[in-house]
Amino acid sequence: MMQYRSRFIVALLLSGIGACSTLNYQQPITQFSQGVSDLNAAFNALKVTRDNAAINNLANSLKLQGTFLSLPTDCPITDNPPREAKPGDCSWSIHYPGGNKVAANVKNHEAQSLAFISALNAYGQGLVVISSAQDVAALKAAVAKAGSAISTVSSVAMPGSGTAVNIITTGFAWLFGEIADAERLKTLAAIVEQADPVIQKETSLLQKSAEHLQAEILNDQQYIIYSEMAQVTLLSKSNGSYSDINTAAQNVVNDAIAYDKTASNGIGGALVKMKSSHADLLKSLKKPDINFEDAISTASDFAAQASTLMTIEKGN
Amino acid sequence: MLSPDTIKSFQTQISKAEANLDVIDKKIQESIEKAQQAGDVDNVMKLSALGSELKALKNSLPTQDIVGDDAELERAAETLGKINTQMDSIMSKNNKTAALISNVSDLITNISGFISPTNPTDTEDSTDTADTTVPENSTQA
Repeated sequence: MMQYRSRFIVALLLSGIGACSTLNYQQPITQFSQGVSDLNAAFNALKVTRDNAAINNLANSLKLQGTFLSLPTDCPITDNPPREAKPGDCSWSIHYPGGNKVAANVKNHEAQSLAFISALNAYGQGLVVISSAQDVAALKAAVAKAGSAISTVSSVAMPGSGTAVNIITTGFAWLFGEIADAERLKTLAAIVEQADPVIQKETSLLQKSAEHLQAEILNDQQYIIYSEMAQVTLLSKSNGSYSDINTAAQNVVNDAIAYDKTASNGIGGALVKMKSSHADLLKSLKKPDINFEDAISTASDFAAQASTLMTIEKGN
Repeated sequence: MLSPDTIKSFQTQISKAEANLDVIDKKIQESIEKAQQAGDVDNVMKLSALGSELKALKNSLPTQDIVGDDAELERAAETLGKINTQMDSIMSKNNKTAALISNVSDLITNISGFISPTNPTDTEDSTDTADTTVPENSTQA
């Protein structure tokens, strides 16, 4: 908490030093980009958590029924650390007594959302490079990258819309060091302005997807806890050893803690802050003669919350 | 080439099945909580296992990757329609625990048969006996 407060204070101090300095607009852009990067990582981690919870839950239930689960050796979610499973590359089989077998799979309802947040991440990185490009070639490359990322965001969010983002790059013949900052700000404003409606409107896609993932994880975790609690009762009733009962009870406690972490996941809140941060960034870029105080404040707030998400996901 | 009507019919049944499975999942969880309160560990275990398996099967229902021809898809939609009828029956009754366990077990057999037609369980035959609900007063939770 102190760390975020410190970041905020630093942000406020910087906002007061030279309202139009390069640092001033770099700061909210860097923080926005960092926040999106953390969100992207948190979203992917949430999906891996869901896949693992689904497999653990199923394996647990099958064991209780005398059946077993077989996973292919190359199943990515059994890797340590687990990596993202793509549709179809991690199917498993449920083996029933008597040799019956049912193929199951990890469903990837989140493909669209993951593509969306990944493109937003690329967009954020593009803005950072634009804000710090040292020559025309680097700037052009960064503008192309950010423009392409926003086109991707747009087409992922609205398939078939054919929305294309065209950033005018013909004005880059100017020399760095002369009107560089003014031109850079204009370029940033043009890109952020084109991206903002998509981000404001389509972030709800990510919110729905995060809620869906969260509900699925909670459901699996709930079933795991039910059966673990029953194990504790069974062991107690059958005079199981203290050690066995203790281990079983500890499993319940650990999974109850994991359940609470999932339930308090704040991705939805961070996404709302991402929208405000981007809107304030646009406002500041369009009126750079005023200052970036609001943009810095909201970007700092967003980055802090997104950073917390990763702490929750890693269980630290 | 699959006709849009056939695809739509199939997707409607899939959506209905997913929604029904959510309702049945809630019913199972309610029964687990009742069984927990009653100290009925055996049924808590059985219901947890069935709930988990049903959820895994829900995740394995086909979505957009539709392959095959119109006739195949029509047969799939019809089979799924029967499974949905079976689920409607489970949802409409205030099942006692043992009845719920029996009905959900049958449902799992039919859904797994639908997902993996090579499974020796014959889906078409088993869904013909869609209403497998055990009489409500036959068992106690």
